[in-house]
Amino acid sequence: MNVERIRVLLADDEEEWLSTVVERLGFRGMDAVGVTRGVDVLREVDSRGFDAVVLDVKMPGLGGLDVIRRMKETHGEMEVILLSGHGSKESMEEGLRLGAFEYLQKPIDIEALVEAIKRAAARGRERSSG
Amino acid sequence: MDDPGRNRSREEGLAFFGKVMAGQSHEVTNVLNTISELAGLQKDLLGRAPDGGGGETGRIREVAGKIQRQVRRGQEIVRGMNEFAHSVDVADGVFDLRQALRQVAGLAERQARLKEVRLLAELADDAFVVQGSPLSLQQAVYSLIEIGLEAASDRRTVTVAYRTTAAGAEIAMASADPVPGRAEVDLKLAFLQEVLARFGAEMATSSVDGRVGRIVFSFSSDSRSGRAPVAESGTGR
Repeated sequence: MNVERIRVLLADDEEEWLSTVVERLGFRGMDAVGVTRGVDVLREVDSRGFDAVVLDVKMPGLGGLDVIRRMKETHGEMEVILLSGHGSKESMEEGLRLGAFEYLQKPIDIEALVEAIKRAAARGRERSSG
Repeated sequence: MDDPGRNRSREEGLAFFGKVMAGQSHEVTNVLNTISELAGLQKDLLGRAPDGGGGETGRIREVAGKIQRQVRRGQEIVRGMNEFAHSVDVADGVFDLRQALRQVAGLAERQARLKEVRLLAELADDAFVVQGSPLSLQQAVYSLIEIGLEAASDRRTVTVAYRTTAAGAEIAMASADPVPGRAEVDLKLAFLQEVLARFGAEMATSSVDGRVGRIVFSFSSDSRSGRAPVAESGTGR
């Protein structure tokens, strides 16, 4: 898949981390947008099209698991990658059970994240067209 | 004599301490993750600079790499702190002896390094699940390691080994330099006996010329818990 066409939405309450990763993904040919709150993910997904969503599990208010739960009701074809910095086995299992495409631990390897986003976007497109 | 009120208060105090420590360790992890990404961004920018970043490119890239290595080191330390903080989540829990030893040996690394003693942890693959206070057991294992470290001279090795046996499981400490018999050591050994008794376990020492060379904690099959242990990575609070 041509990475230049992949649009990805990232959500993490750590602003500095978020803006840095958005910039790095931009250097790798992706059209990345960042939001710092779970509720903003739902708003952005409703108003704009994305090929994949990357969510931090722990965010104030609506956390990653709650966001994925709601998204699967309204945007079932959207593939979600969950990120966690705190290694909870339960949240990983719950996230995968809720339908997360992949679960990655921070610190992330940027190239591994790019590959995961590409895979998620490809799967999302298959499901949309299938 | 046990005072239930005081014990309860102590347990709640420990749970509070653990909760705060776990929360703060999560905050530190967030900082480290951000530093790591910023170092990665630094490398990216160097790669994109038209003039290659100037004469100092190699040096800047090297520094970014060093930053990332220190961050990984910090993240490992914080991971250990977080696991330890979660050990007070429950006063009476079900946990794996192997995990407990792995955790405590990691926490004791710094003390070993300061003493210039090599701490070697040998862990058999099988789990052995016990029920009791995870914090008490960790404290006992830490004390066991400390006894060996205090006796060891520079550049010697203290080995702490976990293995399962036909009768149950063992945690054994062996020091290259035997532990001299002293009142403080005897007090520590008495404390260890007391803690192990709560798990239905026993302690044995082997001595030569009044100096303890090896201390073994033995857990019989009766000590084994039939329940599944708590999740390894804490509750993610």
